[in-house]
Amino acid sequence: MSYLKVRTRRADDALVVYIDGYLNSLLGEEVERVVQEALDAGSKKILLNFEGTRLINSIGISIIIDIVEKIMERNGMLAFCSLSRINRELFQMTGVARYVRAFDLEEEALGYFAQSA
Amino acid sequence: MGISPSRPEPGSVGGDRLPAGRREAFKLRALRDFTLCLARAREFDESLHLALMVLLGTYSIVKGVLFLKEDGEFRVRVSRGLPPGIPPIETSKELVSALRRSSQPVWMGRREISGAIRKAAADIERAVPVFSVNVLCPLGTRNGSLGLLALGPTFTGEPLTLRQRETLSVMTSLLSTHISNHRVLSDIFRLNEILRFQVQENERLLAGMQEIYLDTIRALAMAIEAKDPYTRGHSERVAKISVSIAVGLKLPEKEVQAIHIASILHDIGKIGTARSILMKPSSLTAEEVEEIRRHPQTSFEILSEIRFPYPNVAQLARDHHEWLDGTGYPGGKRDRQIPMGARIIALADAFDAMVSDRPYRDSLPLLAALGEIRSCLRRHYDPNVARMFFRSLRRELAGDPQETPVFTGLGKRFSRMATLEFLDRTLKDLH
Repeated sequence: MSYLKVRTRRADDALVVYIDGYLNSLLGEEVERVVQEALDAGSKKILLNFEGTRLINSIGISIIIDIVEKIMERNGMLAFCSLSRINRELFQMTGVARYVRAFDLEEEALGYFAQSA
Repeated sequence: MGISPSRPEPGSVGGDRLPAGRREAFKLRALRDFTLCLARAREFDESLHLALMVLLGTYSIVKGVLFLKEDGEFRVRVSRGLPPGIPPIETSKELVSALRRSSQPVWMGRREISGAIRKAAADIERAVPVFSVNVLCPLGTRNGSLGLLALGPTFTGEPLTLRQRETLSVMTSLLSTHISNHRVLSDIFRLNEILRFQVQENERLLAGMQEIYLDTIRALAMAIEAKDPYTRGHSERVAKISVSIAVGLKLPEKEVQAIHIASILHDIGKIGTARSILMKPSSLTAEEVEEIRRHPQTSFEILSEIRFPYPNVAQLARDHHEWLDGTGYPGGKRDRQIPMGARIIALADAFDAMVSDRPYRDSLPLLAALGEIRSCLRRHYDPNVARMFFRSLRRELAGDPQETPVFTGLGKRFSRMATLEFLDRTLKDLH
């Protein structure tokens, strides 16, 4: 099973990326592409919203750490929100959680971006 | 600050401490994903791409590159987190033998590493300056080296645990098997292509040879037709009718071919008959009859000298004047003593002779010839052969579409309706 739909929305100077479906196949490279495009266009603040994400596997982790690296290289800001318990644990286990702040709600994350403007 | 590699974010998700079972489950799922992506990818490069992603994701490694050994060097097949255009890495005897000795991943932090492997890692780092090789995994089987997998440091900078190293070596050995299988399969496909081409080429050559062969047979038949103008076209017509009957009787392909050749050459023995007898416009004397009756035996003697690729060609030509009741010549054979092919040629030959002009008589009308054959069934002609002959003629007269006509010597002076009526009646009686 590998259904994935990636939508984006601008919130002030931040880009919110909604990852709906399964982050477990090459379809996930669409998330990388969207983030790369935003960075190339000068965006510095990226929020990944995992509300609709059903499953992340090791391919998904590979995609996420690639995004973390890209944003680090550009001195950008990255945050996660609406993680399920299982995905939270996955990010802890793989070390991703040490580098990226995760929030329960999208507004909290956007508020955090606004503070550090 | 969203990201700070030096300072872990506190409070957001709680500490890193998780039950050991979770890690085990993640590792097993990663192994499952790894085998699935190797098995399910639509093509080889996609499978390698997915395998590299699963592997990097499993250990939180950002950068990795997979080289495959091709034409004596290691060429990049897939990479991740690295710029494109990585040049090939040179191989050497020392490297190949070092890789053969260690099938396990090599940790570059270790002290006792073979010089060749250390050099390979340095070559890779020189080729990709942003890359630092932490683990070099030899890919290969007992039959030799297939490639190299170079992995960068983990995302967190922490070294892999002992358990993680164990899983990594399982994954790289699965990957080696996968690459080896792919190589074997592509070799088989390539060989298959070569073989298919060869078979096509051979079939083409064989078809060409068969044409030349048939031309030679026809040329031989022309020799007798040159001597006896009354038989012009006779052998071709007899051949067409005979083959049509043989195919109708569902005889084996080799037998049909033998009948084809024998029917073209059945009269070749007439080369030994005096032209004056062949052309004589009146009845023959007893001696002349005896001489002309020698031609099937002469055909046999001539054709016995040729090694045909089909069985009994000479015998079929010899027996084409034998009749079922034993009153034919040269052997006076009966019934099953006469080969099926000869029974077929006998009928086709007699029919064509009847509807052709001869020096001593005009041709018989078609219906009269058919009536003659019908009246001689079982005495002279095999009823099964005759049925197939009548059926074939009926099909042609009824105008069923056929690629080439079988009966070309019928003339025009006959009633199609009356002939069809006769054939229908006869076929019904024969049933």
